[in-house]
Amino acid sequence: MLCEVCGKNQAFIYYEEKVKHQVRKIHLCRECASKEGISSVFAESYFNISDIITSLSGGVKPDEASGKQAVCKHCGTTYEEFIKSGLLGCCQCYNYLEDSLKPLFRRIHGSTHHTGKAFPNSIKPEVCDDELVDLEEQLKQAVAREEFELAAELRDRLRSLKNQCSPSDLAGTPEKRNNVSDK
Amino acid sequence: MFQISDLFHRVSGWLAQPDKNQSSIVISSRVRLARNLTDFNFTNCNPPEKQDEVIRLIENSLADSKLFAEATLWRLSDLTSVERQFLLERQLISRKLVMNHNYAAVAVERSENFSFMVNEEDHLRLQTIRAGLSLGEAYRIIDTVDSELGDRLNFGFSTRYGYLTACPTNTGTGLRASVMVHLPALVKSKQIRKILPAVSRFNLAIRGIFGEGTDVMGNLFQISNQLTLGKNELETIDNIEQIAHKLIGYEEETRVLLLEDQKRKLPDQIWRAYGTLKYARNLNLTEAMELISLIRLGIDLGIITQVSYSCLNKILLFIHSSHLLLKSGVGSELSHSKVNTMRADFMREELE
Ligand SMILES: [Zn+2]
Ligand SMILES: [Zn+2]
Repeated sequence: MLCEVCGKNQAFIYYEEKVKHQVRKIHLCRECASKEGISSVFAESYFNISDIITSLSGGVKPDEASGKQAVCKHCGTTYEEFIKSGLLGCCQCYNYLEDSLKPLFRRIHGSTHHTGKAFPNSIKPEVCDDELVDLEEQLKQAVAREEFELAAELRDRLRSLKNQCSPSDLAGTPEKRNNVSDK
Repeated sequence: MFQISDLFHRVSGWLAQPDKNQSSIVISSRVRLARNLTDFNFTNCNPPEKQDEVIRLIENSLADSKLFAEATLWRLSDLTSVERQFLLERQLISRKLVMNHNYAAVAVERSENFSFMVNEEDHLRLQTIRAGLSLGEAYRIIDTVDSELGDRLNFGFSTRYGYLTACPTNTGTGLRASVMVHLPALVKSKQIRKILPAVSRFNLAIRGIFGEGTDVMGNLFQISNQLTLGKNELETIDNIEQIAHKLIGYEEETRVLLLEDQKRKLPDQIWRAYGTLKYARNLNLTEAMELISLIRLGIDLGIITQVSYSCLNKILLFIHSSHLLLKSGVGSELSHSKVNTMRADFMREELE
């Protein structure tokens, strides 16, 4: 097998990446592997992320029902373009392409809601009802399909979300932030 | 302000002071955050003059902060290709940033406590690396840096999706936490083939360079999180630390078995590696990394006592070609064989 980087020398080493049950390998010759050194071990990914996006979005057909192409009115990026490159064009894409992105988020992250640090200048988190309904629906389906491991995980998430959504904590994230920066 | 040449002769701060109480199986911990400015298109859709504006805005926000007093920003277009390669070897920039070198910049804190890339896939990629297993500490540092920048810049953030990133695989926390682990015993005993798939079931990604037979690149692996939406920062870090502790445990158990099994062979291999590193006149990177791996194992097992971890960490950086070149005052690329000679010379000096 020839080295997939230079295409000239015989490959004898391979770089391997396991992400989400997908194993990807790239075969390298001694010279190319030498050039990479630890930097390739430390790289975020040797592979184009669009491959992952494309494979994950396989079942998601954009706007099949409405018949029109989803496009971001701010930067002009279409869903098709996004699937090809794996990259969105601007922050507004998250609004304009939301319907197509949601199922993708679920496949990539198993979630469609952020739970971490909040940006201080942003408005306070919207009520989580939306996600609660979402999760309860997923839980019902998981139980119906007898995927109990998934169901247990969803139940845990529901529980922690319900705690988070208690009114006292709704605007709690900015405070958390301040504590950290005081250190 | 400091010059890029100030970095040529010393090791990164985080490598210089490895924690003595730590297992050396986890070599380093890295945390990075992806952030974008809400008023600009993401880098791939941002025209050159706007990319320049992004750099200027970020440069300005550095100017009035105490936290950033020791940080310097370089435009990649002002650096030579060897200098860019040097920053790449140092893990301060990525290959993707180099590809955008006409419009990209990097800011580095003097002792490399933190750094950030400007106009990578996202406008900002903040990063910090620590020695050993210390993701929590790394996150605390980068969290402070992020908050300081957030006071000065308007980040793209949605209450539902969190930090908005160019690629949906980073949306939410924008956090990628990773550890670099050294697993020679698991590789030697071929146990690694069973263990790595088990790790990937925890929504973690594993990267490594494998070879046939004994040809394994330094026995180094990187474990990183995959989920950024729906898991908060501390959960994410916790998850990786737990797996890292498990890996340390497996590796340590396997070392005991390996040493029992190869009572003569293993010390012999380790001493031969030491001899080769100390006296070779020509060393390529792959070979050097294999030998360093054996010596690290030798120190861990108490077989080798004349080399310190910090010396080994320094070597791990300086065996890379641009480090060798710039340290010797060579500003342009040399042939492989010349670099191999320089590498061997460097090694002899260090192990003297
Ligand atoms: Zn090659
Ligand atoms: Zn857009």
